[in-house]
Amino acid sequence: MRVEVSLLKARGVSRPAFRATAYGSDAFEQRLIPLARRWQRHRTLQSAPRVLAVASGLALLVVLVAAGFGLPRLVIALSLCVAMIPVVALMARALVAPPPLSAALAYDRRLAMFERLSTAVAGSRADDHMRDLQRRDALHALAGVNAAFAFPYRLPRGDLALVAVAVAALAIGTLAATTDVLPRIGGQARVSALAESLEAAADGEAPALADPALMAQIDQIRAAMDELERQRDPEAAPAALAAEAAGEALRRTAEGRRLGRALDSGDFQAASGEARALGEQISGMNSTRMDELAEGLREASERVESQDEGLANQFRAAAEALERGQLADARSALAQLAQEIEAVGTTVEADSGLQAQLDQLAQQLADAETLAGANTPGNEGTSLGDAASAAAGDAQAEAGAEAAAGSQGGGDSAASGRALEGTLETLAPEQRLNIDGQLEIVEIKPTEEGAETVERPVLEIGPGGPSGYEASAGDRGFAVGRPDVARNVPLDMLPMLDRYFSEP
Amino acid sequence: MSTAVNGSEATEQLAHGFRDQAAAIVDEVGKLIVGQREIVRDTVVCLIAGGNVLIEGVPGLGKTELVRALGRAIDLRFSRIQFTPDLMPADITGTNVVVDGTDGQRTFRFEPGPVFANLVLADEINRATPKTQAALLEAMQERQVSVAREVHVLDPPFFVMATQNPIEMEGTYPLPEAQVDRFMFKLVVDYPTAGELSEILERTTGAAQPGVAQVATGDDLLAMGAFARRLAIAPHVASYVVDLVKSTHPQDPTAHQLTRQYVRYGCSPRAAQAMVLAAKVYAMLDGRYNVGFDDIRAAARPAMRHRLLLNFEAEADAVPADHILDAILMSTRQAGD
Repeated sequence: MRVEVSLLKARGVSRPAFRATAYGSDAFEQRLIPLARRWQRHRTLQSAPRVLAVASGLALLVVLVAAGFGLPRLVIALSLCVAMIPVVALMARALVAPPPLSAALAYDRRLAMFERLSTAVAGSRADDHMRDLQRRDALHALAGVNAAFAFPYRLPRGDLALVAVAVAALAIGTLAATTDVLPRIGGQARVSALAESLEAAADGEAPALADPALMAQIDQIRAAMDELERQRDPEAAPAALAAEAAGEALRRTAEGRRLGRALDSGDFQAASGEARALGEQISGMNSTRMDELAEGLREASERVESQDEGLANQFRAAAEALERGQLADARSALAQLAQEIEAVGTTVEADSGLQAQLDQLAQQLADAETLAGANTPGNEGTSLGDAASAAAGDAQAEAGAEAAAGSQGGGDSAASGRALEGTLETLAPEQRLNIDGQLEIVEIKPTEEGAETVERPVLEIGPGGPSGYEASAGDRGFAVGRPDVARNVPLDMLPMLDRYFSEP
Repeated sequence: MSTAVNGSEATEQLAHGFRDQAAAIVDEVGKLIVGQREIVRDTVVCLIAGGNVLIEGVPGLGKTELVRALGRAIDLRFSRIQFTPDLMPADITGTNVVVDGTDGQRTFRFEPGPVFANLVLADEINRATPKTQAALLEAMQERQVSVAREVHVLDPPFFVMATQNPIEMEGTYPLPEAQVDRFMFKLVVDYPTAGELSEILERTTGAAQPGVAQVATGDDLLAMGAFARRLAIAPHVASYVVDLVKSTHPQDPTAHQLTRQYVRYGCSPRAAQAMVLAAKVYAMLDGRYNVGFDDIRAAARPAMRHRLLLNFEAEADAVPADHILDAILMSTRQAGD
């Protein structure tokens, strides 16, 4: 028996090779070669999903580790390397010719051939005639083997789902790591380090850290802002001012008051409707009211002439038709005026959307620059100046800004506050702590209404639970808030507190 | 090459003859024995392989009839020994008797017992005492009988087909281990099914009794046995047999957990021999020229069930040998697993 087993080992445990060198030259073993290769490919395919899933898991682990060490550029290379090793191994395995006995046993087993093939391969101690008979019987059985039926190329669905999930996880992980999402979400340590660096820089102890990822983000935000600026319509702002001026003139007339208010408030849809309504109402007006309306329209025309000539012409045409008493012409002119107002409204609203996105980007840029400790001359006038109106922290506008900036995240918005260790003296002029003790950017943008930049004194608030009041920026470009009377504030700070939370 | 092909073709002819003759024997016995196809087949397999058979079952299940039918289907000298508690060894082997010579002198002459036949039916073998049962030992293994320092060789072929009642029944003596080991197979006859029982009634209570034709001779059996032994068994299949037998040895590291718990002594090498020989005959009957794992598994239970000596714990837990063998067959790995 021991001799037989050693014979079995010599025949069956031959080393796998790409060429079928272990196979004999007789018809039986030559016929077995393609079947053996088919079986090898089949079982490689069967194990492939699990191997790939494990490889994807390992690759994901490597990606996370690499991202954790701040090596985003190595992530793709590492993940590809780790994922490709098993792929290459699987491909190599599929090309290998398995030992003849293993293949024969596999077909014996799968097709219930009662060890015909494996006995023919392994040999026996039977006499020559019987061995010849057995081999012929095995060859006959082998001729009827349908390898595609025995070992079809089919992947189990469960395993496919597993590998799909694993590969998807790897793809998401790699994408997140390479687009700097992970470090921003999970890299709290790095953010803390930057905050400490900022503090140290403010104290003059050490220069602020120049974080490459942060600098890259600043560049991307600036590029997005430039793109948005290009998309803006230069005529939108004068048109909005013209509409406001016309509204002011019309508000003084009895018939044109509603149209004036709508224009003044920027509700161009309503203004257009009011203009059409006026056209329908003029037939019922007496001459005094008609004259008054004509005078208002003419004044509006004069006020907007320098900013929007088209709108001015429509106002003028309506005024002249009313003065001439030509009601049909006046009605027609007012209808055209309504259309012109609609067109102006479309332009202004589109520009307002772009402006909102720009404001959000400016806010992010200011945050990023604060973190990086980098002064960017030449860009401050636009980005930091626009940041004041974005201090309201509108989440939807922020999402739009993120999209415009190439989906670069923005989770570190200073408006939402950031824990900062150190003393209040280390804060930059545009920074303050909100009532929760969080870092907040309060850059103020001057507006047409003349609101001025107010440099707020810093209020030191002691530790405690979250307050019901949130510091915020108003729509006129300055920070507003209400005193938190529930807090224990030192008496000598009350005047300052009152001044801090009062209207300018 | 031509000689080899011719030799192979002759061998193929022999194989076809083997299958035809074996099928004819099974068919003839099947005329008399209703159902029990597996028992009939295994009994014929034992005859071809040259082994002795122990058939166990409650009275009235056709055990004796099966052996008688076999004796008629094959042209063999048939003798039947009804084992009883007062049966003596000499009643089986024969004895020397004093005869008067023509010259007036008295001499001893050996008078052969019923064991001198080709096919011996030892009916209800476990009703005799162990001393009498042991009288068959030498005949079963060495095909000879020693009486008064004289060896009498039995004519081939020689088969002992013993029937026994379940050992739990009254008035039975369990066979000694050495004798049990000499039986190639132990077959357990179960009650017939309802359909089979109806068929038995129809066949045995009518006016016409089915007859059994002679379809083979003793020489045919010997030739078939010799031919089956030529069959190929691959090393990995033989290795599977070894693993099965080793799994029944409680001290062996590869022993099954149930073996360690319930088996006192495992199977002897005769079990492995019996399995391989029977598997070769199974393969021939199936039209193959090699032994497969399924052939081994088919032979495993009848070849090993009587060779497992169970301990007291097994008896207390009422664990039969077949249960342990099933577990071993389930867990023993075969090449390609």
